[in-house]
Amino acid sequence: MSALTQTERDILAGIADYLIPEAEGMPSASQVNLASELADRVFAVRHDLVGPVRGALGKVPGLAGEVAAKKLADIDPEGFHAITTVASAGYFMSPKTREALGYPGQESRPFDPDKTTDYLEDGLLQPVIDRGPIYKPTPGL
Amino acid sequence: MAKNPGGRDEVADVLIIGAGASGSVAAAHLAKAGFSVVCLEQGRKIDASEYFGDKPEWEVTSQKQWHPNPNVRDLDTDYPINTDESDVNPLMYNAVGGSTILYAAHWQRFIPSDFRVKTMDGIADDWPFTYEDLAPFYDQMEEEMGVSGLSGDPAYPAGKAPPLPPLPINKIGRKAAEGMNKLGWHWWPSPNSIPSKPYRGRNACVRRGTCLTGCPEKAKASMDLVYWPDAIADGARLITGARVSKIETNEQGLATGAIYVDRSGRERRQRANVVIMCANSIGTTRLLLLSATGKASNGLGNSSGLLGRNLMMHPYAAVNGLFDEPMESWLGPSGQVIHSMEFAESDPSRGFLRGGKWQVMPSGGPLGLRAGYSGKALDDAWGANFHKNTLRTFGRSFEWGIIAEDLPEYENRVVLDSTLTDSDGIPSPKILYRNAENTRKLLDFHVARAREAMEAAGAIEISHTSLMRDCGWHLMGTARMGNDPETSVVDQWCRSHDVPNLYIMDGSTFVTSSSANPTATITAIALRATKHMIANRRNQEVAA
Repeated sequence: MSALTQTERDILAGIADYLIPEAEGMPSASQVNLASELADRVFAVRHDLVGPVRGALGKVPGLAGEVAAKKLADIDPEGFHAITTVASAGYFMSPKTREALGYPGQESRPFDPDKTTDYLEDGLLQPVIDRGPIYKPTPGL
Repeated sequence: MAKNPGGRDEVADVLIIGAGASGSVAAAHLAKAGFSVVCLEQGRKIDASEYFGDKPEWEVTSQKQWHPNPNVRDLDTDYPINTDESDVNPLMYNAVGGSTILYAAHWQRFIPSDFRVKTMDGIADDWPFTYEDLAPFYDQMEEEMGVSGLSGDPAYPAGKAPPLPPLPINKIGRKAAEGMNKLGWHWWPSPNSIPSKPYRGRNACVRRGTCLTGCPEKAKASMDLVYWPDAIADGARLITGARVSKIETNEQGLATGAIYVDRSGRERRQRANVVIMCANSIGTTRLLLLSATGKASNGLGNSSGLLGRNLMMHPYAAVNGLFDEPMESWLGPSGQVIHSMEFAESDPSRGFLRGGKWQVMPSGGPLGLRAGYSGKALDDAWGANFHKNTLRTFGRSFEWGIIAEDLPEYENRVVLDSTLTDSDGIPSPKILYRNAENTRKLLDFHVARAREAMEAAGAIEISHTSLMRDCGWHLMGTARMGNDPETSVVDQWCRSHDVPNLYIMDGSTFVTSSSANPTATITAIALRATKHMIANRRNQEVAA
């Protein structure tokens, strides 16, 4: 069952495109299917957001994205915060967004455990070693 | 009427309350030594496939169901905590493995002076043992946990090398180190209980950087993976969903076991010859206060009046630096990549006593970075600025996190809340905690130095947070140890001065807090106390 009605989804899409437009080489919210797809993925793992988002959307029927966003920020900060959370979380989940951002996600990046001490080979750590101990010894105290 | 589990009239040799850091160490070693062990854990067993670290939903779930603040998570397995009168929110996780499920695995020892604060600085108290007394147990814990690190850190006495090679320090670690070198300040590649190679059934770290929300790779050394398979194979019985409401005692004042509520809502009794509390400083205090009797009307084991007092939570500040180059600052481990103990020791000329530990960690994903814009004006935070801000900062910054050593303050404490309860109707704890003047001065000094370190590293923008409210990872000090029953709750072997078969092995026993992350010390002390219990089993007084 969908978390939002089509009417609610349309309002969310308008607000999301105001919040996240196409600019600076980055896609807009609608270009990554935020309101039609990614929002549902957010709601699937964050049921607590459904109520506040629906409540907020119900307060701005028929309003265009910018007007709706500014009104909600004024009259329903909690609901507006829930909408911005869904919008930004869904947006950054999109592969298209991540590619444009140069962010591969929290990917698996194995490493050679026997080649992790480059700071010993290039001398970066040497000044610390050369200064010697910095702790206060306590034997006998 | 309370029943024994399964209708059996079992009297365990040892009953452990809590399957977290200390309880897991005690359970595994006692079971291996032939003790019959029962552990009551209010949470459940988590499977690694439940973690979101390898899924796109990772960040948005980290803000709710995988948040370290139980009041934010609001899970059935948690108990709410009243923090209305606290500067800091306590953080924890309730499950098999306890808070090691969500910890960052910074496996840092305390420094020698931490155990001699009274002698060296004339404040607080000395511990009843020294760094040298604890060193062999630090060594053994590093072996059992599979710590990755580089030996020779000049902030510590020479000792045994960690069993595994260090993890990479990545670009952010190198950048931070370059700044520290310009200033002539200490830094070192950090020890983490995260294996750089496959280790004792756990996989090698692959740097997802999601340690703080559970490791989907089964790499990070959380206690559910490190200890419980062996403990259960050795006969320990782990009962999950068991919410303890009271430690019971007999007429002689000896502990006889515990009453708990199972997930069917039934009240049950588990009898035992010895009870070990391992529920963290807040949970242990809560249960011992709830176990008040006619003879111990202000809480079990509380003839000193110090139970719940001297709570320490390590106030945390952060200095963020933005650089004009990409550094992949989301890349793990997370985990600490480098740390600094340059200002960990006391220097009275600074206007305060004791010190702080610094560490560099990855910055996480773009959603977390966006959280910093939540208070900004609409036009500043959204529209084209949304992209400008993200592109300018994401992957190009890192943070020096600063852990402040907070000193034991009598008025900082855990009490029972008068109205708040958990879902079983058991009274919840309330935290009364304010930062002392010494702590505030300490944080101011360290933030100023860390800003200098960022500038030296070449940061083009520097910002800081003087005190994070959600920072109370390190819960310590509410049942301090000592030799004098009038000024301490337990002795150096973690045994109650009042109840000879009641032990407290979590961070409650800490006399002072150090500035280092405490889990290495919590477990080393638990291991030391457990070995002492095993060696002295014939002398252990138990209820008839």
